[in-house]
Amino acid sequence: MSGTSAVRQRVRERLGRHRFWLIVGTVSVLVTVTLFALGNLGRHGNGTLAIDNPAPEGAMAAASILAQHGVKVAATNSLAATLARLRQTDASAPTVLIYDPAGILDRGKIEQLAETDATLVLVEPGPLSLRSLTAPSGTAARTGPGITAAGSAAFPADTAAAACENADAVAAGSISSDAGTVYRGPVMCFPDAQNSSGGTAHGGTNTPAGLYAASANGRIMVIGNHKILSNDKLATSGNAALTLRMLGKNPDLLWYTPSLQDLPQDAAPKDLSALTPPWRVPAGIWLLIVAVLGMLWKGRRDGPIVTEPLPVTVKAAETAAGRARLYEDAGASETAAAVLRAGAMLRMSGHLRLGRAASDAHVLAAVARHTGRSHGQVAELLHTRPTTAPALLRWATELNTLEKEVTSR
Amino acid sequence: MAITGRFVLLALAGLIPVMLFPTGWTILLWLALLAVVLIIDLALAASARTVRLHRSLPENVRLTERTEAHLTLANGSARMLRAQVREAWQPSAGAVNPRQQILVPAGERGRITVALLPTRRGDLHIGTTTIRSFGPLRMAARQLTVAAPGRLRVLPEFRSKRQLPAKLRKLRELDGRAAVQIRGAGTEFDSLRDYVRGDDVRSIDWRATARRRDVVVRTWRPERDRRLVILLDTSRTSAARIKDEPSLDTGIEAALLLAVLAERGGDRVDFLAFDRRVRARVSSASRGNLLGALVHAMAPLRSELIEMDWQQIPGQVRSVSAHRSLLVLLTSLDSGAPEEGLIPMLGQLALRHLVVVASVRDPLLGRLRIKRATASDIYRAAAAERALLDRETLAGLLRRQGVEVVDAEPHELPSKLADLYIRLKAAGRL
Repeated sequence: MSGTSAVRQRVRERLGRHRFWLIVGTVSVLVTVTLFALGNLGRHGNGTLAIDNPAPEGAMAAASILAQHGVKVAATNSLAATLARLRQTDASAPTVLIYDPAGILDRGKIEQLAETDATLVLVEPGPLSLRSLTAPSGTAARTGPGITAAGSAAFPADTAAAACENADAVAAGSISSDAGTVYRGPVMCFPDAQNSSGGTAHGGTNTPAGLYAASANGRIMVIGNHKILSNDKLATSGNAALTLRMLGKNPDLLWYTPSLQDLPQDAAPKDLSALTPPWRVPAGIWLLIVAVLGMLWKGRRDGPIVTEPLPVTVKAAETAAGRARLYEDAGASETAAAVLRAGAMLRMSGHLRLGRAASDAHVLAAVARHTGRSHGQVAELLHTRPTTAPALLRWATELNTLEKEVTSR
Repeated sequence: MAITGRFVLLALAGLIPVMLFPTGWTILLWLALLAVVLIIDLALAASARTVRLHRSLPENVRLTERTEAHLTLANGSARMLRAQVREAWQPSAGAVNPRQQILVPAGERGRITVALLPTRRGDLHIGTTTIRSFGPLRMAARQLTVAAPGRLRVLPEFRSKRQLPAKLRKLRELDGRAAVQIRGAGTEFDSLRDYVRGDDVRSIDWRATARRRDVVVRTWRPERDRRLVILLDTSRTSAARIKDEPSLDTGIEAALLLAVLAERGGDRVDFLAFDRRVRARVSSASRGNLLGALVHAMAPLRSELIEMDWQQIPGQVRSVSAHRSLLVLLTSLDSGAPEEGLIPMLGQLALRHLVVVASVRDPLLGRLRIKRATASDIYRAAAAERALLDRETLAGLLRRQGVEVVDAEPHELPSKLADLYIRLKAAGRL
């Protein structure tokens, strides 16, 4: 009975003693947990045109509008996954959006996609990707006359008008785009300013080119600026109309953004772990544990720190040192000389037993007699008033010599 | 709780299995092994709570002398106590071996001895003792800090004790001298002795000579039962450090030598330590050994960071001695402080008493004054000269008021003060 209460008492004492640190520890743990939870709650992607990215460059808006209208939107990040999805939804021929700014997809992969019967929407495809689409090495001439890239173009007015017969483009009317890649193909819409005005841009050819291009059968569509789909610009001009019509044709939409998983295995840099022995990581972890134990061993104090009640002491010559610095800073060589002279006179008169009240003239005469120097010489030395530091130094040395002469005899 | 180096070595040994079988399981297994070893060792360690401590300290010790503090540990548990005991002495106690290993079988007692070499005068304290009780494997220990307060009084060193025999001899030489050498107002009759050549004929006691066949002279001895009041200034000026010693400690040395000398010389000694209130008071009239009482009273003195209250001094002196006394003021003559308090008060004191002002002079000032190699040196020399001149002026002012001044460097102050006392006594001015 008393034992348990004693233990409880001890625990309470210890809690009381370490209350501050307990509170600090608890608060910091709580803050950490809260921040971690907040950071992970409703976690968002941060890729450009990612369907779960609500930032201006994301595409969450477009994806969620499509989803509200019954389109099943699914994001994939590898070719294998995309193809697997395509096989699953084979019955209803889905739309595949391909956004590959890093140029990960090579010829073979694009061909693989082109061979399916899915509708392909390519966002800002490079010339090579387009070439592999339009001139497939295998069977299909399914894409018909090819779409080719026609370089980049600027839209000073920030808008591009449809200027074509395509229903999607006509529905959109005009789209907002500051710049982008323009393409040539069977269907071309939203030409850039120079083309619409019949200028001779793009390598001297007069063939028009537009931000939007499609194959004749409409199964391959190309859009030259990813910003049209982004959250930021979706609501401006006819961007939304074009986007939603392009992507909402089929009940299924695969949002494919190629990632590192699409790179061939041997292309990836070799992992460091493959080059080092297998015990490296466990041994490192173990050494870390040993290091922590070592810290606990050495860091454990045996008892509280003992304080020493130190008495106050002041260096006695401190005031003299301070006064010396004042003299020096002020360049008070005359004052310093006067003090030195007074001290020397006092000591010399004491040594010559002239008494405290002896006048300067008496002392001077006695010193001259005592040292054998001429009266004028001594008087000159004692009456000099040095005004500069070097003069003071010289004078003080001479005065010291005189004083020694007097007191040593 | 605490772990030992052995435990860390055991953990380090785990590197071999981890490297041989590099999996997470090996790490977990070895961790489990460590935990088991830790728990077993802790469980088998004797509880430090059952240990009863008893400390025996010497009553006091002179500064710079070695002493020993004993601590007895009674093991009340049923297990062997393998402990490291740490005595938490404050650093200036100079504990040589504050951490010690000890083995105490169950139910028995053990004793540790800590050698102390104090480096500071005053009361030294020990607050706690920490017992670290190891298990039989010496892998881990249970640690407990127990409050076990203790105090050791460190008495002033009394270095000037070495000069005491010489000064006493000088004092004794005053006894029995022929009157001619020391004749003065304050001498009293001591004894008669045979005339030897050289004695002053004026000191021949004709009446005694008539009774005997030889010529007899009177001899004199210095007066006894005079009063000596030593007043030690413990105000802020006593905190000035000269070399490695505060001027307070130099004052203590001087006061001790003078007090012991005066007591042997047959005078009554009163000691006062004062700043704004009395810090210590000792009288030779009270019972017991004067030196012992003095060092005990002086041990805890320290410089107080307040201004001396000179107004109270006459009253304080009157309270210890109603008669004319030799009043020795151990204070500072650095310019600034004395002009305001000391000098106005001394005129009043000098009327009633014979006043001696003893002060420590910093030898550094003398060295600074002589060194004249660079321009900075000259300025420093001038500042030192200024300080010394100020002291000189002040001393001259005091001497004109009939006050004796002893202005000496720390190592000669006690001796010079003692010499002055002997001189005053010889001249019968007490």
